Amino acid sequence: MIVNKIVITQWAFDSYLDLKHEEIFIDGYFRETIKPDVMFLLDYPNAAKFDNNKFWSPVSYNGNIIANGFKMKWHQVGNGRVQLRLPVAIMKNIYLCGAYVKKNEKTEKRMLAKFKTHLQLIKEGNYIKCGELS
Amino acid sequence: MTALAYSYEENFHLTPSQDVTLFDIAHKMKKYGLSADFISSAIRTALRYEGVADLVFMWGQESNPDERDEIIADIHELIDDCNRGSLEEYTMIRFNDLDMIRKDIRSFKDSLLKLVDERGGISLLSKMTGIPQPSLSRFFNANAMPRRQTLIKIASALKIDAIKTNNFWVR
Repeated sequence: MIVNKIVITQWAFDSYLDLKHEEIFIDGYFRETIKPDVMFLLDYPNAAKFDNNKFWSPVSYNGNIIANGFKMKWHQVGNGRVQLRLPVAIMKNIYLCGAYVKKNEKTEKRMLAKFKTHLQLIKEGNYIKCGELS
Repeated sequence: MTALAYSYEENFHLTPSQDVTLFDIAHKMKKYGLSADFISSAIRTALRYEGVADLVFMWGQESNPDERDEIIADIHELIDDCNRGSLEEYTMIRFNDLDMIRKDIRSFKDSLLKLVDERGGISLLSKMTGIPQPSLSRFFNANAMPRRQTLIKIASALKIDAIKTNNFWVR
């Protein structure tokens, strides 16, 4: 059995602090929905959740699939009923690379350009690790 | 312009025509009032990192000033990330401490912003540090962990001796 290791990067940690500050979600939603969903990554790709493309999909940019790039998706989150996205890199380990509110296509494109850079930096071993889930 | 139409590759490189577009955008950035330091770093980083190149091209095609500012702040963050150079590991942060950390960072940034406002504001600070104004605005408004290099630049510009750069949440 393969046991995955989930790495919390600085980008993910900063996103959490920002989203919390903006009151995008409350602690209850984080504890009861987001964190358990993230923990499914320990059982990637076997968990049935990863067959649901409303929750999980590969990342594409201008129609091209980005190697090693995936995103988790939550819909109608919080009182603002926003679309929350969490880019995930799957390589030797699984890396949480940030989270953002998908406001429009421009925001999505900017965030994915950042994610592409984060993927390249992880491949180079150039990132900050804030913690692990295992 | 079709600068965005390429796929992610292990060994990224721009085409000669994309290189030229990048340099054209550098001129545009200069006219927009961005510092030579920032533009030079942005272009150098874009030549190595596809995602940064995407953002520079996006900036070149964008006409909305607010959206342009967001792109500048994104590029600035990535320049810092790309220049770090190696893996860093932090002391593991406990979930139960997150709210305390968030409040601590907010309070720190609010007090620093008060000082910045007393000494001429963000616009002047941008000129003194060479950090683009949109990046400074995001630095103060967002709740992300402050970067040590940014704090040192701010402290140096404002001639503050006692700025706290040794908090464990300063990266």
